[in-house]
Amino acid sequence: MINRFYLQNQELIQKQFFREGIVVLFDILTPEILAKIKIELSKTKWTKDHHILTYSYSTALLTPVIKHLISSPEFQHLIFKICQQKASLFQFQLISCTWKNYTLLHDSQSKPPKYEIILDFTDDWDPKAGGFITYTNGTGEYTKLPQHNNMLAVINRKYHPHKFIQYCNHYAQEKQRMILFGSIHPK
Amino acid sequence: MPLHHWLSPHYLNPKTISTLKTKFHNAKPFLHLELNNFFNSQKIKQIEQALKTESFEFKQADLFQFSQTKDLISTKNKVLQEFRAFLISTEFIDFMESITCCKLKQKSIDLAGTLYKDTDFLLCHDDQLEGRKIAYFLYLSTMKKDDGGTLQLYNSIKNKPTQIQTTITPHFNTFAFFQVSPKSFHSVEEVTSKKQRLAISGWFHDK
Repeated sequence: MINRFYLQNQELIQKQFFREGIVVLFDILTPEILAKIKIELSKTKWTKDHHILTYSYSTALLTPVIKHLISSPEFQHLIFKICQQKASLFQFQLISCTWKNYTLLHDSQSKPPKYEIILDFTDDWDPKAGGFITYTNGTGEYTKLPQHNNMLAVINRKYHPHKFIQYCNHYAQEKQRMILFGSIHPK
Repeated sequence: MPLHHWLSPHYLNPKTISTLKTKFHNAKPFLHLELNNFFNSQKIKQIEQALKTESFEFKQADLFQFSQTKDLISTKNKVLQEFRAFLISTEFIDFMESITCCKLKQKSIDLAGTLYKDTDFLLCHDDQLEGRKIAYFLYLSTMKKDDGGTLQLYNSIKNKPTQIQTTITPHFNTFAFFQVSPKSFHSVEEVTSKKQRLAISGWFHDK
């Protein structure tokens, strides 16, 4: 399920994560499982959700293949290796953003999770449309995650405590950003 | 600083002011007013030209994306200095007080130029910050429906915004204002064309 290159280089990834508090892995899933997830997502029923002062997006239930992926020993072992977190509780949310969607900084939980995982399944998104997942540390420094299909990002929220999804503008047209957010809470 | 040097004659009539006062206090979803062709046509053109010579800084955060000048208290442009002096003059403060029935601080105002281009926006917020009493906007562009850039005013329940009730479409030389309160939720709709939305905006302060 996971790109073999990353499974063979977990030590290096962990070192980078330890050094920078964030790691981004492109082409994380094998083409076979990615194709299965894409088929599921194309049939997924999204429900609009908004609270004007904090967020606007759509959510969906986790698909069977996504559930299978995130509960697999291969995936969990990689995440635990990166975070050096042996026993943890995962929580996931599948969201979709399109024109006029956003999340604001005060949407962040009062106490963010220790680590955050992001799996980006967005195809063919125009960067001009906004929608960047952005972290700030309160000092005016912004870290924008790349927008890339089949990308995994792991973030140490201690160093990136505030998060927002930049407003998606009219260049989004009918396209959707589909993102799986995961939180790791130590037991 | 006489009002008639600056305002269109229509707004100098006591009956008009009385009507505007009623309109302001009956406005929904919260106290606001929109005054078309407000300033003297020669003055407004000078203000527009002067503002276009100011430097605008691009600003971007989770809540907004637009360009803005520094507070025009520091402008070196004489037209804008005079305009600011007029807004804080006793005569104009009295005019605003007579419509809003708010006690406004003399000689005190926030004033900056704003420029919204394609994709710029300001999401919903209430403007509440200590001292802010009346938020105002002087539009120096005219936007059409397809251009976006409208000012959107929200209904609220228990001081939480629910939905857009009223929109104000920017028209050149329209002066709009609202009373800042726990329910003054508003946003600026994303600009969705190449049209530029130029305005001067800020706040009158509480006495």
